[in-house]
Amino acid sequence: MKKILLALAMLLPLALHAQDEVAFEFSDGINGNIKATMEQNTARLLTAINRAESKNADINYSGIGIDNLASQSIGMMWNNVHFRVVDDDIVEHCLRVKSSSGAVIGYQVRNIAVEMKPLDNSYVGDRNQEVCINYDRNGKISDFNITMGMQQYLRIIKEGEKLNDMDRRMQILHWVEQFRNAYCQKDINFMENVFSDDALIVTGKVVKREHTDMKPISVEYTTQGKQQYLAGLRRVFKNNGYINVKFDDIEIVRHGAKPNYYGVTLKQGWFTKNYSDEGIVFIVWDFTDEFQPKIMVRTWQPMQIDDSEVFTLNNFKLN
Amino acid sequence: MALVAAALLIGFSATAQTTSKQINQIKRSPLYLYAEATMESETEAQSVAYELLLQQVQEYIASSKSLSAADNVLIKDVKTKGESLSMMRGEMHRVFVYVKKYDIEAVSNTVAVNNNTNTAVNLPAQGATTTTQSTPVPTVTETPAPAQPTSQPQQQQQPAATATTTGKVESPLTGWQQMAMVSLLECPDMTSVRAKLNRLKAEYKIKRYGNADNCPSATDAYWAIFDGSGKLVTILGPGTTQRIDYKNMQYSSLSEYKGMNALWFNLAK
Repeated sequence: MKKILLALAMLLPLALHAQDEVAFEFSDGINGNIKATMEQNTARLLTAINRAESKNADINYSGIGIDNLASQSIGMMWNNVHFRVVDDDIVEHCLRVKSSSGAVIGYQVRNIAVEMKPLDNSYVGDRNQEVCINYDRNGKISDFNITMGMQQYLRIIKEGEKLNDMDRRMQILHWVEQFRNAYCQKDINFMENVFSDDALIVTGKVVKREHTDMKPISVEYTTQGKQQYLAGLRRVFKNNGYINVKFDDIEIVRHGAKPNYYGVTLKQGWFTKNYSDEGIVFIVWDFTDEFQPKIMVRTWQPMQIDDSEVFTLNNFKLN
Repeated sequence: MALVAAALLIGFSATAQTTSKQINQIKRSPLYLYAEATMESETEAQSVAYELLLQQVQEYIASSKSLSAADNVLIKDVKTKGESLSMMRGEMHRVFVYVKKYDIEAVSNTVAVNNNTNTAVNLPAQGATTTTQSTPVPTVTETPAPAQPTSQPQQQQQPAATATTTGKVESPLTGWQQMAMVSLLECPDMTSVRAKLNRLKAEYKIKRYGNADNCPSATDAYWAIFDGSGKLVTILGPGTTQRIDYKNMQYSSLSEYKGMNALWFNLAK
């Protein structure tokens, strides 16, 4: 009995420190040389992440087909929180990313489970998350993001099917995921690029009134331009450890007269160690350049607001 | 005490690894369609996983010529045959669901949904919205629809509910043989069946094939049956009076297709 327990005790460290090596394979959706290239790049990247996590070091990208923006994006996340790939053998669907004309412009894999390994106690959020990896047409890794919940994904693909603009909705989902990750990664450059120079940012604030009227809340709105908003964001990024931003209940509405404009309404959860809030965010995306869409409007309203007062495309005059 | 905890941990980890391995085996097999979801509650994960599976099924149907040409497609036994595996992932529940491609079959203009086991996907008219019946229906129902021309005449006379609740036979084919059969059944006509047989022969999966008039042993051969316009009607397995009809997985015989065009072939073993 003692021997068995001793053996178990010796095995325990092995069980707890799982191997860093990750095998990766696509089950379907892609064939040929590019499949092998993508599988190799993915396996190497996931293994490199695990190795870096084990050694508490930076990720070594040598030998991995990954573009600078993607590695920088992972690096920014790594500066705020480490993570580890849960499975050592991954088999997944390969999804095609298409332009609005239906041409394949890249590929994507979703559902890669990771366990967050916070650097300190500033981390607030789920320990178990999933990431998605994007590839360009040659199989090089072009992006890496923490995904939104499955419910969001399911809802968006179902609506895309119903309204026959699945490819565009998948693009929007990807950009919304990048937008969310940019907060978590404190990626101010992404924010600089994604907001249109003449973007309008509207922030609502609940005004507490005592003994005044029957209205439960009153909201005061502040408008800002892009640079003003980004200056505030820079301060927030600087003063906080990990920022966990969650997007839920996403709804996408296409503008009736301007088909390249989409209104995206979502519930945003903002969690930092010392402050958290929830609100309704409405974003107007201009997809005229589908490879670099721009945010024209971003609004934040408190959750307590009446449904009829939530901003929609109708509230903004788009030129 | 710590060692007991260690033993428990190892046991738990081993179980999760076994499930994970099982999941990957299924994912690697080309015989299945699959989907999964990881969520806070198992029920929620199961529901999302099934929805995603139905999306997979719809994509599969759209990419399959024989299925996309059908008025309706019956996915047999999604809730029972389309099994699910679940495991914990940290504090989250991972649910993996899958269905055999072979259990997705074309049926003609009558849809019958057998509550707990089957899911019907009604194929839309061109340009129309696809609707999915994913919620359980308490009783077997029939949707009366006007008869329409179809490429599956043998199923036209038989409501799908009868077909799925009585007389189904299990395919004796497994592995690559079943894949070969599925790929042949996906061929719309004689030309593409010939091309597929050629391809399978080059891969040593078909030993030989030929026209009906030069078959050395009709009993031992599989038979692909075509209608007057050359469209594939079904494929019958070897046998005499009881051959498996691989289109609807019921017994049939060559004599039922007397006068129709046919190609025979022998599968390699």
